[in-house]
Amino acid sequence: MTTSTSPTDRWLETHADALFRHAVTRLRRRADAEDAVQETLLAALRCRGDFRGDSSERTWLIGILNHKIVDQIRTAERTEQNAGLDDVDDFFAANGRWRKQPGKFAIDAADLVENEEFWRQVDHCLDGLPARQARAFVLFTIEDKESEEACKALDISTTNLWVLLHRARLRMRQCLETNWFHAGDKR
Amino acid sequence: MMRAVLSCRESARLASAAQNGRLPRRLRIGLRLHLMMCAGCRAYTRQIQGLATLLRTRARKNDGLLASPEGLRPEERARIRTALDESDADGGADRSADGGADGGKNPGADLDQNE
Repeated sequence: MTTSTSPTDRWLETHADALFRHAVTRLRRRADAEDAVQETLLAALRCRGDFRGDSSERTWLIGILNHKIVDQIRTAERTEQNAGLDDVDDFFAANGRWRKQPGKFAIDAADLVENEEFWRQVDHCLDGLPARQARAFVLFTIEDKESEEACKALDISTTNLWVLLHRARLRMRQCLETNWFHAGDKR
Repeated sequence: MMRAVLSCRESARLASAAQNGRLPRRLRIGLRLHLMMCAGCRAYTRQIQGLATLLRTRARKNDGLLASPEGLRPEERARIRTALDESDADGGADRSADGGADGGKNPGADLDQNE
């Protein structure tokens, strides 16, 4: 009955891993990424007549996936608590000064972009953040700011997002200083 | 209403906001003045900018990924397959009439024969 090239089989074979890696990079949690991939393929199955063939099938699926990722982040933003949002007291004393001044080092793309060990460390630091901070940071930073997806993600609540980004940047910078840039120092 | 001198706490918040692309001129000047006097905040501002540039560059060169995460595990793949098979057998959209006739009872049956 069914031909041997059902889209389900082919997509699972050809695209599922790539979709999953794309999703887990942005959503940080495997279960969330699995849901997003499943939702994406279900949507693709329903609308496969819409695929025009003027982009690659992978690009088409990634486009759907990006919408599912934004949906997931939005839902999470609505349900997760925002308690203590303004709390950056780990980093600043009551007088407004740094508890520990940022050290002197440069984050230089040319040195690090292909350094796989560094990226494992980045991943480790991201996993140490609260998931919503990590998601906001990754999505906002790596997606083109003008892109529809990123703008939609911003609309969740701009103020809220900025606070998340601020905290994520403080934590990521600190984590990388400790575990990479000054990893050998004893001070 | 800005005080003449920003604290590091405020400067870091503004440095972050500036990265989001919407810092009003008044605040931008306040931040710049603070950075002239404060090496710690200068380092911070450059480092978070450097980090953002680095992440974007990496994602562009690495297929939209940062690190290289593990792909789907067998049980994750199996769950997705089950969901897709069920949806397909539910007679979604454009399946021919006889394809959906046996309902969702054993949706994976004919697909399994092709593996």
